[in-house]
Amino acid sequence: MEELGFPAWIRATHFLNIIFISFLIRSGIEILSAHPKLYWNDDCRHGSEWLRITSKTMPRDKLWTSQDEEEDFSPLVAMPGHSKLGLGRQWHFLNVIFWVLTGVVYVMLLFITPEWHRLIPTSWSIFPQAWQDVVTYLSFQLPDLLPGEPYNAIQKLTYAAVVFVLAPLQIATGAAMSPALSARHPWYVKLFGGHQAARSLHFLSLLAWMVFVTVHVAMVVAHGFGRETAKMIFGSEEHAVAATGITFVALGAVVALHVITTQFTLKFPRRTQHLLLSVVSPLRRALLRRVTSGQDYPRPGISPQPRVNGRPPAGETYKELAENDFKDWRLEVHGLVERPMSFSLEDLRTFPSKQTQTTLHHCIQGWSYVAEWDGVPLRQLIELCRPLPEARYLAFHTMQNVPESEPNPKGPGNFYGTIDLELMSHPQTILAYEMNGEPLPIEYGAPLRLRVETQLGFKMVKWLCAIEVVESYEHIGKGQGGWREDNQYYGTDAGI
Amino acid sequence: MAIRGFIPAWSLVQLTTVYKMIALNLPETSRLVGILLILLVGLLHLYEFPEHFRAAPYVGLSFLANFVGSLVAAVGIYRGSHEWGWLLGALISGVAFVAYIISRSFGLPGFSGALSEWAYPAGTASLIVEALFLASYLAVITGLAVAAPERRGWHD
Repeated sequence: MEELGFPAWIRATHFLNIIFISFLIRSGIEILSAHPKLYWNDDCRHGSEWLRITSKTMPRDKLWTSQDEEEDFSPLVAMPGHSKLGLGRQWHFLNVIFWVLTGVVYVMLLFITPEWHRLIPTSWSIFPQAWQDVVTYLSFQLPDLLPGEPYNAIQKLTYAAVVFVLAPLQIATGAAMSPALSARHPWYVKLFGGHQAARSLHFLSLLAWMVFVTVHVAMVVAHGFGRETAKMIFGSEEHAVAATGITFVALGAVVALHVITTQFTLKFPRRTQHLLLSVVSPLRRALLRRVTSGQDYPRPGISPQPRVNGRPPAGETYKELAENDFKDWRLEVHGLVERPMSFSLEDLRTFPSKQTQTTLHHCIQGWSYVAEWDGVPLRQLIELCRPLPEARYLAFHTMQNVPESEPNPKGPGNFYGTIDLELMSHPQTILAYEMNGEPLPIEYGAPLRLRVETQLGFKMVKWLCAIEVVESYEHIGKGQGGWREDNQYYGTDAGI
Repeated sequence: MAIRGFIPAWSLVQLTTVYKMIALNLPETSRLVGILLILLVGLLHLYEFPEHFRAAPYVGLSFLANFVGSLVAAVGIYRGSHEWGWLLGALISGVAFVAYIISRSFGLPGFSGALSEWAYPAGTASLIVEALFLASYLAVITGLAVAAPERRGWHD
């Protein structure tokens, strides 16, 4: 075997990793700040979290929602910071794409060159050797490198574990948090013990990365900072002084990149939303859009105390409708249809098709719950109205005027959302009027809400009053495809 | 200023108090970690007892006392005593940690062979485990973690 070194592709992927992982950590912390609690149960029962990173305590005597639990983390630790979940998510996904690509290139080159020897053990003797290396380190000595290889035995095992265990675990647990994937393949999420267990493991893997990076840097210092960084810059131990200088300049550049992108994101959120989504959305759409839901959770698994997101409409009209059990409420379907129609709650209850589904609800903030929903298949209801050929989207209008109902609204106007006709046609896309066998409670969207089981919760608009069939949603609200897309910079594709 | 947006929510000084926001609710795990760490401290000292007894009998006996004390502390932690279980473990770990540093930097009477003998794997391992136990103890007494039989009573 020829002597292994530090070829250019290893040095390049190592540097790219520094950039992507640092962005992934900060944007991951931003996502965590939206619901800074971690659970082992998918019900997210109140007080059952194993970790909370918040100083907030919710009141006992009045309604609070999951938005009250959000934390405002500093940009020093979160990307971009200040409760910008939508933008934090887009940054996270952008860096995931490039980090995974870097990893794929690295692993491919590893195996098509002799460099795989640097990570893959070919003898069991590496384990006693690794133990001996640990003892040597504990003696404040430096262990010998393996013959012809760039690492000692414990380094080799550690790097192999990072590349072939930790990184795949991070990717796999991240994917398990996708509502689309979990709707299509519930078994996959169960591999990790459920959605919340996957989320917890994703966080613990993050901690493992941070521990690894800390020890890795400490070892670089212990082995000789200049010599070790020279290997990663020039490919050999020569020019240690120059390597030290270049390392600090490069690290400074990475810090500058973080500062500039954070400032840009906070100053130009709309432009950032569009830029990031131009990369993230097409891939998300290609991977997850065609996935349909076939969930059928057992009824005993229904969550006893689901969280609430968003306060009910506070207007007098809604209160009067609610006092009358919504007997006077109507759902108007209009826009690009041959037959505009209007439905009462009774019309929907007696609709020829009634669909029941027990599913896992994924909030974009990170919490979840299992519930049973009864309702009307959306596709059948819309087909009654005969959409025109140019129809492409459904816009769901609600009775919730956000500034009126929320104490700290993040935007103006009535809440609304959109989905395209493809999502409308999914088998578990329904308009639900019952939850867990009872009329839909007010805090969960009475009298009618949307359920699109491959999407995150914010797409499943509550307190519905009208469905507008449109060719484009640019004329609605601020034109981004939904109230949260308009005001919180979410992406309109919500399969993960 | 490019850096301005980074600072307003938390100053750097406030960042040092971030631990107050973190709360673990793993009482059984905390108890298990405490027991395992203090047992490891005791076992490392038991392993080193014969050699140190030969070198300086009082050091060897202190190692034996460390082992017995660690067993007692482990029982205390198992039974849920914060008053003496965790505290005894912290005292044992703290004293062992400091004594090791003194023996290597200033020397101990009749134990001059240890002076400057930092390249001692079992000693370094012991320092690491003792530091981890002290960190766990700190987490429990600051409320960052709870150890069984205590429980969190979060309503939200």
